[in-house]
Amino acid sequence: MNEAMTNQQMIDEVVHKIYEKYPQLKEQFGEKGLRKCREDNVHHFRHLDTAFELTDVQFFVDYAHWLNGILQKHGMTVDHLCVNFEIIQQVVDNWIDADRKVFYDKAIDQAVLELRA
Amino acid sequence: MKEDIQKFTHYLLEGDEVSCESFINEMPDKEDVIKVFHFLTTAMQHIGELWENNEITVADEHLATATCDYVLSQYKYNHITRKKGKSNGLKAMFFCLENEQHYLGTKIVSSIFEYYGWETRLFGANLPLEYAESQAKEWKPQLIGISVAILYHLPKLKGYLDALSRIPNAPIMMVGGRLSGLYDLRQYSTEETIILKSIQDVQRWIMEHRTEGNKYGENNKHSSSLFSNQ
Repeated sequence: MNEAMTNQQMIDEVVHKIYEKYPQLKEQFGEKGLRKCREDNVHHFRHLDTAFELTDVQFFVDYAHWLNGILQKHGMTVDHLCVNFEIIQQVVDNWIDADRKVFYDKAIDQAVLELRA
Repeated sequence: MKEDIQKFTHYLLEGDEVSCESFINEMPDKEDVIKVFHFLTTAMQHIGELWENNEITVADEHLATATCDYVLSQYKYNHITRKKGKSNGLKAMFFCLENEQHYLGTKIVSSIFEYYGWETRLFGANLPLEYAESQAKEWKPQLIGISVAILYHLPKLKGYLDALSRIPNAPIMMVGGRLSGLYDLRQYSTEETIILKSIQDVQRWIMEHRTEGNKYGENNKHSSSLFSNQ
């Protein structure tokens, strides 16, 4: 299985779990919302991967703050983003190696801590 | 300044090239290239904030970028290209990392170098390393400027800098763009890379190394012959 396929499947699983938790999102934002949610998660993974490659958690935390500001302007809450990140933590277990998983956990924990503060 | 930015931003968002040009032509400092470029940069940063605040759409932002690009080209032609004096004999090329689309900064920086007598080649957005490398080997610029705005393009930067600084004429490597203002990019660069955070930094660097002759060359093995012909 190639890397792109793995990423797509991971993202599909994350988006599925988000909509399971918040079924009202489908009514509120429709198909366009679903597409945007998927796009957002592509960006989350890109930023997590980049922060991992550059070994700097702060890159992801800064991204989380920036994105949270934008999502709130579009009617999302800080909870939506934090739950999205926490779902990533659950889902990636089956897909990525231990080193990356440890880093993702650290980056997401820090981002969620600051976003919920 | 704030009112001016708002007015000009409105013209950009309307795609109103005529009003944008009239506005620039009526600026008291219109001959001051650095001030005008700073003004355009501030206006585009404001457009970015409007998008972040959900006050404009991606389409609005793209129209504003295209309009700003036109204004920049016109201004450069009238105030730099047409009035160009004697070349200083130095060459510089500018581009964005692969997949990086935010090219207006490279266009501005390239224009500033041209204003100060450099011969420039602007490759704009998304230049894969292999093409940057072959162009640099063939054209032999003394300086190569790279722009990076999006975080997930940053891991590629070191590879570009390593490869391009190894080419035979050993050009000075310069990095700028949105990320250079947000993070210390030194750890993702080579030791000799010049990192510039603003238009004013670019101007300062050119001025310092113009007036101080080959001082830079004495301190940097990668540019030993750069200013020796001045």
